[in-house]
Amino acid sequence: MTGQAAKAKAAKAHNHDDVYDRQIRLWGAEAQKRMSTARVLYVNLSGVSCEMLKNLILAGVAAVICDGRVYPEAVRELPSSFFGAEEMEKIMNEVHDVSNDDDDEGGLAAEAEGEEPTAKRAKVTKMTVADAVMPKIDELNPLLHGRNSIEERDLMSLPREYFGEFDAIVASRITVEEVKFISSCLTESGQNVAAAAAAAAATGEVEGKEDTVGRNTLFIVADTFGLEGCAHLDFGKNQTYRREIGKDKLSDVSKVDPYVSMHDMFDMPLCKVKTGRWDKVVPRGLLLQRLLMEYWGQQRTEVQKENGDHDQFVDFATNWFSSNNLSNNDESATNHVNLSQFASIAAHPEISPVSATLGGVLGNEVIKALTGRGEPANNVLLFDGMDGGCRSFVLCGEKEL
Amino acid sequence: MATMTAVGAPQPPPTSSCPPILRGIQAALGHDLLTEILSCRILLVGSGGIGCELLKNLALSGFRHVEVIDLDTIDVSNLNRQFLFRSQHVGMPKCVVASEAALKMVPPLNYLHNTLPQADTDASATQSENAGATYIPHHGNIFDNTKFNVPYIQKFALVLNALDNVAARRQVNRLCLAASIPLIEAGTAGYLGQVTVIDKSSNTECYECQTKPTQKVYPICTIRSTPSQPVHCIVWAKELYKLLFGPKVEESMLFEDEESLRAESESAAADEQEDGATTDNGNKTSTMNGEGGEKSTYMDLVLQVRTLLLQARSDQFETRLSSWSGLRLLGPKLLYALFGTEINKQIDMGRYKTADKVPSPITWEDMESATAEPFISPTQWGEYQPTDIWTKDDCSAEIIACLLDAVQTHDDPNFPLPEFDKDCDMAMRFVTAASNLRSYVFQIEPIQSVYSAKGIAGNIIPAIATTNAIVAGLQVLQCFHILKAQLAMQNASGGEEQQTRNLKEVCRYTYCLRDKTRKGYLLQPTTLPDPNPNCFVCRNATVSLALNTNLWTLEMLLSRIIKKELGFAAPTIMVGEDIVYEEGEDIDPAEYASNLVKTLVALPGGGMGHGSSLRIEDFTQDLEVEVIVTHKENFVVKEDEEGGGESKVDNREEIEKFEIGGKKHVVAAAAASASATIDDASKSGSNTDAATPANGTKSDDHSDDDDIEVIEEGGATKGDGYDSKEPAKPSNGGTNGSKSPMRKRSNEDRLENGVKKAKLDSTEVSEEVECVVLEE
Repeated sequence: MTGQAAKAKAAKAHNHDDVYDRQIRLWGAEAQKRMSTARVLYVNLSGVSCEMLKNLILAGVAAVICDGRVYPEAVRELPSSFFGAEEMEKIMNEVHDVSNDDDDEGGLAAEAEGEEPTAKRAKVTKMTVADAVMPKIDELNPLLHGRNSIEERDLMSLPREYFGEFDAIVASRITVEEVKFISSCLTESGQNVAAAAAAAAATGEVEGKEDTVGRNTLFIVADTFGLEGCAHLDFGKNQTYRREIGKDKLSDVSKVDPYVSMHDMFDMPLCKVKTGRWDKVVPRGLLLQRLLMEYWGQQRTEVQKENGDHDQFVDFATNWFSSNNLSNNDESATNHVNLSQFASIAAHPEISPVSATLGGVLGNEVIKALTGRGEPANNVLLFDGMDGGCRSFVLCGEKEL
Repeated sequence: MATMTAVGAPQPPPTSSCPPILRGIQAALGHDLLTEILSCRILLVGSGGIGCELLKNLALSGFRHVEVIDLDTIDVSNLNRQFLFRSQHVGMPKCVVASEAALKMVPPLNYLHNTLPQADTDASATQSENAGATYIPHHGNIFDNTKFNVPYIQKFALVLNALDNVAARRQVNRLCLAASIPLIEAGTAGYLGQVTVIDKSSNTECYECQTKPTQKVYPICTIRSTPSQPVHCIVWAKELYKLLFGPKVEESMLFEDEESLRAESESAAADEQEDGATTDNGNKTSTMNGEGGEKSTYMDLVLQVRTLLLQARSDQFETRLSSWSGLRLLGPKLLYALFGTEINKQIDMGRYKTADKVPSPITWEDMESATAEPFISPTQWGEYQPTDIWTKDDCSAEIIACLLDAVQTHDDPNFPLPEFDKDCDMAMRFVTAASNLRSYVFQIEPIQSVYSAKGIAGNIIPAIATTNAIVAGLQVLQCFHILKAQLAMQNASGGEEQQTRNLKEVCRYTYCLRDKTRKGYLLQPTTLPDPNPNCFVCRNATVSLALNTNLWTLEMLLSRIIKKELGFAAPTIMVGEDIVYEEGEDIDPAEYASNLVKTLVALPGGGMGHGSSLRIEDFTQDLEVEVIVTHKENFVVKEDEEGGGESKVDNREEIEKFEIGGKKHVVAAAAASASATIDDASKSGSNTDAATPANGTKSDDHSDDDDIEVIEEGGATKGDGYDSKEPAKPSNGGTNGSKSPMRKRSNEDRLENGVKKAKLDSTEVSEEVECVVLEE
């Protein structure tokens, strides 16, 4: 029996190596071990975060999904291999049919044994986006079975120490308020970890130290809109890396400049931010991501109008620009945003190849940090699908330059 | 042009009637382009790592008519990135599984039924209830000219490449050039990748304008006698595998029979006077400083082993048993001959008297103890791991175990075994053990594990999902730009196709980099390069060829140069007015058989001598090239630096030397079966003389061993067009008219900095690339 169990285990290990063969050849068995023990928390799925999810699940990184939005309404427009359009439309139609029959008491009873349990479940139990995606990701990489999970609690109700347990947090379609909440929780737990490390060092338990220092939780906030995308990255204060030198050789450990915390990035007044010497005005992608995040935040609190209300968006954006002192300067990037045209993109922001490209780039950044190989980007990435360029720059406040 | 869009498409329907997943496309690209996307036909060549990502992007972007060509089947090691495949699909054709999976992602289309032209449907199309969307798999070879020819390519608006080898890429390149259909080419290797657009009418560089580094080829004597790197031993071990198990034993570099020995002996005689370190082993013919003339000590045993293996195919258990015990006895003797006697003989012949290290042959006692009963080979241990490093004895035991396995696998596959396959467990164990044993003998480090040997032997280039996703995303974005340009041209010309689209204005050559550029770019777009005026594929340039016309036969010319180096698929060769060779469906191979064995000077039509020219036509590629032949007797050969300091190469290689393009020296490739890791290939850089520039291209293009090379602004200066022609650019949903400041900066970026250009040798060779085994 035990022999057989060992055999089965060996077979599984073999399988693991076969499946990950190509990437182990790229980043080595040690790095793969770290990847295979890592967990990433995904807050709200979008086209770009689904791509990251797909890439990282394939690479062997487990996922915890926190997305309590209603399926399929919340992801109907989302271009992802996880959500089949046909299936979603079918459910939508059935839900629609069912709600038309709502007055009919007898109808409900009949439905209990009815022919369309899917529709019923969707209506009755309110399947969430996380519920819908979980079987798909388990299927995508059976080696991760049992390591992925759903976080059912509401984001803002999660305990503050919760976020620090993850190796990375990837958020999309999130509000500025939520970003700041997660970031301040991470800062606290980072301080706790640092304090614990200091205490450990004081008591002479030095071995543990390196581990704890290396355990930054990566925090990425990414969205795409039309042909463009933008991501904010906060990989903590202690991110280190090695550079690959030729075959099988790594440089000594180098330190990445400490990241500006996500909280501080979002606290900076946009009209004052500096992005290094190349930009004379606030980069357009950065501006648009902030605008959309504020817009989505406001949409959640206000009485929901028809999604994509053109005038409502233009009004909101105009006010937001002026309240952030962004519209008076001739050089301002806002002069190059045609709000009327952008309104339809704001309502329907995602397209597949942009999600795929930015999701791939960000996947590589997470892999860099998890494997400790290669210098990760610090701290904003912009993608522009018109020319296919993706660049990073350091976003910081005026005084910090 | 090639697209079939209804001109004057109806007004955009209200957003609510657009399939929800496509509303983003409609908002970003506009209704006209969406309509074009929904109706156009796309050809995808390759459905592996990049192909899967492309299919997903195409389906989720609303493309409804896609055909996919791929001849590969699914392997376990594909599952970490070729995400349309599951473990239950292993062994099935990639294109079939991928097309089915992608078709399920195509958003159902209800609102446009009546406004769209009906695309011709194919009987073999994978149909869904999805109102006529067709994703058609072709499980076949792109070289199949009966199906995949110029008229076929012309059915499509554009072609996407997602290939893993140079040969297929060249074929698609030529088909697309001939058909005047834009090609979006891409490749990845590890974290690196690139995407580009090739379009004849836009005057862009074609896939063959730049030399693709071919794989490292090692001189035969390095492999046979003077190995100094693990890769030399692995190449040798693959030859030994071919010698013992292969279907064509005579193709092994280690094979010897009367005829080959005689030829060797004769040609070696020429060298005899040099340095004749004589031997005293009593053989009359072996006074030369070489190995020619005398049969190697192992050759008879090899033939006996093959006889026993053949005998093991018998249905009779007894016969199989006797062949098994025969091999059990013979195995150690064979190993002793290979790694003991033969090496001793070479030492006695003085072969290693100038070498740094004298090999230490194994002794018969070693062999006896390593293979004594009860013997357990290392892979039979419970705790065996593919990353284990075997001892000398382990290697001997494993080789014997492999020989015995070859008997026991009576059912499948029968002896002779198929060609070496890195995914065949027995083949990989054998090659690892044999190459390591040789490494022990020649004191070469490091000893390889099965895992690392597989990387070298199978020429595996690591591939990951993220980079594939990036390049596939960029390819589909290029798709949008091209369709937009085609649409604009149709509308502008009002039926007359006078205007030429210029894709240089809208498309980019984009590099996917490991480290950001000084300006922070991880994906660096650059202007599409101009064609190389010396390119014989897209510029009709003449090729110059220098070789020994007295020694080369037409057959050698055909296989080594016309097919391998120049990439012709079905060539017709003409000397003057005479056709000396032709192939194709309706041509009897016997017709030109007598020419094939002739030397070039002896061919009809006056022969192919110094200064003569020949014409090569390939109807299947719609390509014709003129080759000017120069007779050249002597080639000075620079040995591989690590090659043990030998300054000359044996004569069998000599007759296959040649130069193409007249610039770069080429050591030829008698050791055609040699293969190398990418690292080796890129490290050896300018040393890699085997790289064959098709046309005097800059040889310093790949002369350093960094992954990144800095190029001068070159192409970037032409990027001016980006700004000055801004108004002419498509206004993709109106969002980009406002973007010129950023674009300008990124252009300055290029000018100011020079562009850090990834020197993706490996990528260009064999992107995505699982395995390029050099054989054939």
